[in-house]
Amino acid sequence: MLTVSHLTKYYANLKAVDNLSFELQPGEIVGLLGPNGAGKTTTLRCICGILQPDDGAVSAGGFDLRRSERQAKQLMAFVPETPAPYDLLTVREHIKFIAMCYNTLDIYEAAVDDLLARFELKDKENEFSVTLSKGMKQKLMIACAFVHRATIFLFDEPMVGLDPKSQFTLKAELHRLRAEGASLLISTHQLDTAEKLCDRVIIMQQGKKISEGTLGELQQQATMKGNSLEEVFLRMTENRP
Amino acid sequence: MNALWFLVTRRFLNSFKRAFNNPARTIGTLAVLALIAVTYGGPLFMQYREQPSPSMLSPFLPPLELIGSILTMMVGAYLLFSFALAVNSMQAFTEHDVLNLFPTPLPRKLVFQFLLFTRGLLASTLSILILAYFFFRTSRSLISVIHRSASLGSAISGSFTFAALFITANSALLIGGVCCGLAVFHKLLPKKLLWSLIIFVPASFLGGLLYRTLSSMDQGTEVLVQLLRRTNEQPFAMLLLPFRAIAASALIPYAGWTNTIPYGILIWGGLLVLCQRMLMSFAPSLYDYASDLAQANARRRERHRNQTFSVEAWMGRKEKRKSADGKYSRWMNAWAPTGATALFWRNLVMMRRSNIMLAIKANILLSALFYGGIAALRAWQPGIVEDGLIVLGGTAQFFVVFLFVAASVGWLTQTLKRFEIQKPLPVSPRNAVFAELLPIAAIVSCSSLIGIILLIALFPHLFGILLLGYVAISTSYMLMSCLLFIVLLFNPDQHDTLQRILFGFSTVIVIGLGALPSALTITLGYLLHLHLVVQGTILLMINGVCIYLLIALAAKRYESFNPVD
Repeated sequence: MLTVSHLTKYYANLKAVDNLSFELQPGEIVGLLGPNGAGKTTTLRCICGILQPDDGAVSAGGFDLRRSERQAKQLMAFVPETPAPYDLLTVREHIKFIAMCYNTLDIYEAAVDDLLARFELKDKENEFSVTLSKGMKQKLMIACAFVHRATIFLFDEPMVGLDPKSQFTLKAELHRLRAEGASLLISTHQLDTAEKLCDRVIIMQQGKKISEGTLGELQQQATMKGNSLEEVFLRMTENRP
Repeated sequence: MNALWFLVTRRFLNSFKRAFNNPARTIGTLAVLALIAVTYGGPLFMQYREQPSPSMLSPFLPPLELIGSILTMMVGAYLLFSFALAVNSMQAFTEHDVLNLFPTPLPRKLVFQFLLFTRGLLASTLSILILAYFFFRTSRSLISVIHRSASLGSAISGSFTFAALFITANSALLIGGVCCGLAVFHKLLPKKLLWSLIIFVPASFLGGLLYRTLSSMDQGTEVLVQLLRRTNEQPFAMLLLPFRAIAASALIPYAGWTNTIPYGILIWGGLLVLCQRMLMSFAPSLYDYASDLAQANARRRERHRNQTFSVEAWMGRKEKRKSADGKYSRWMNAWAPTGATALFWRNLVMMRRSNIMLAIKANILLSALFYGGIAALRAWQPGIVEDGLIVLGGTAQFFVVFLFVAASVGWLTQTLKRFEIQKPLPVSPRNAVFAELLPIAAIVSCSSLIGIILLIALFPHLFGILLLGYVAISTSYMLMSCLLFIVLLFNPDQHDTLQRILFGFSTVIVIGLGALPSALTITLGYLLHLHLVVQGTILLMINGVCIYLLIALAAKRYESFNPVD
């Protein structure tokens, strides 16, 4: 379970995330939506420990990120928006390196071939990641999320750059993870995907949470019963300062 | 820790593997490696074979006291430079680290310091240790003849003490520099104040030393020797004590263990502990700082990539272009060329925002200071030898060219990153390469003109020679740019350790090769007593042909260039 309470992050004088609180239950997929510059990426980077929040707390599986950083991070897997694997590591080496960081070489040994096959990286396994296309790099970054014992998955725009087949594979993986009891937080601009995939969504604007709930709850809040998530989202985010 | 070592070693070994995957790069790599082996390995091999003898002694070798002072100043300058670099340690962290390493459960202090050490400290320490090694090997015979023969034991203990002290000092200043950077990041220390101190403290030290030397000159002794001797007097000796300790440790095999060394161990050891404690106090925000640096680095790269020539302008539509920052001069905005000239225009616009502008400002400042100094010297001592001043002027201009070559490396690297946008444009590769290289050469020519005009104003009777020198500098620089661009086309990835090393080494060779045609032409012209106009014409023709051929070669490579190859 992931708990984010009163998360606040500044970039110089700009309040990128403003007093954000939410929870992620096991076996739940939550969508993090918002226009560009809403603070989604900053939120994810604060949760996974890349950035230090100026205020508030993040707790993963009961471990406070500030006090028990290693234990908390051990439970989380982060897939960034821009795939940036190390240029001069081969695909297989990069996956191994991530497993080494999490001290889960046993999982790597057992799962690497299957992962390479699942994400169509088998014929590229000995190629340097600098030679991969953007989509292949994205697949590699996603594959790396599965070589350790994560129970909380943080995805920043995971579908961008993926071909239709890979998107389908990824969606199947996300459903499988949910069925296994993992908690998933997905930041995305693809509202139709979010509508089909997520159990709940959080809408952010200018660093603040402006709404949270299931599609039905959001429709109710926006008094737009029967409308799509896209229409509800546009209504909620327009005409706001 | 294993994961971090795995990362470093695999990336290093893979860069070799990658180098030998490409036939052209294989030849280049082997050629440069062979050159390194011959340049350094040859004398080293001979050193083992030959015993030191008095006949090998150079009559110009300074006494040990002066060697110590020279080493002290060199160590001081090097460490200060390392500190200044560490304050803005942008290259130590990349987006790859931020996105792959920082979310992992590896301890953040360990990750931060490991990256800092492997990317910053190790590179600088290795280079200085290699230099120190060659210094010991090649100069041992000479020094041991004058003083006492250095025993193997003292050579080992000296090398060990020097290495330990140097690494401690370098680590302390590297971490100290990062702490200063962190303090600026947290707004605890004003950036301008920090940089003012970095410049003001050494400048006032050198100013004081120079003033003391000039105000009590001994007749019959060289100024430089007197200047070095003054470093042993107070308060300079006290201020230089930490650096002198390192220099003294390097000379243990020849001068033995001196009193300054324990002080040095205490000072540098204490400073390292203090800086380490300071760094730990910033522990929670280390990743924030590293992310900020990595993002700034990525933004800088992106800025160069995005400010490309617009399709509209390319199609020849004269539309009003508003400058992003309102700083462009009016004529640049009014000028809307088409075709290959449009690339030239774009490059001029972008160059205004690159570090080449810094090199131009530095050139103008240095020229004004240098030639102002010459003018003052002539006014003070009218009978001063002109030949010496001309040689100094020439040397200054060479350093200006060197400065520009160093500054244009970044520019040329960005050129390759723009290739995706540039290649589909209907411009021949030859014109595209020419348009990329010409603006830098044009700027260098204009910039050097200031120095030449000042020199002509000071020595009007040497108009012809100075003009010839100007033509040589301008065309040689274009030649160097062409060569540098070709080397870069074969080693485009500056994140690849081996490619970076090869590129760095090749830059030195490029400077030599670029100046060769001009140097040969002028030397031959002098020997054959050719008229200056004839010399200038021949020089222009030879350099012109070389530039033409090199651009053709670069264009051929550019046509088939693939950055991920």
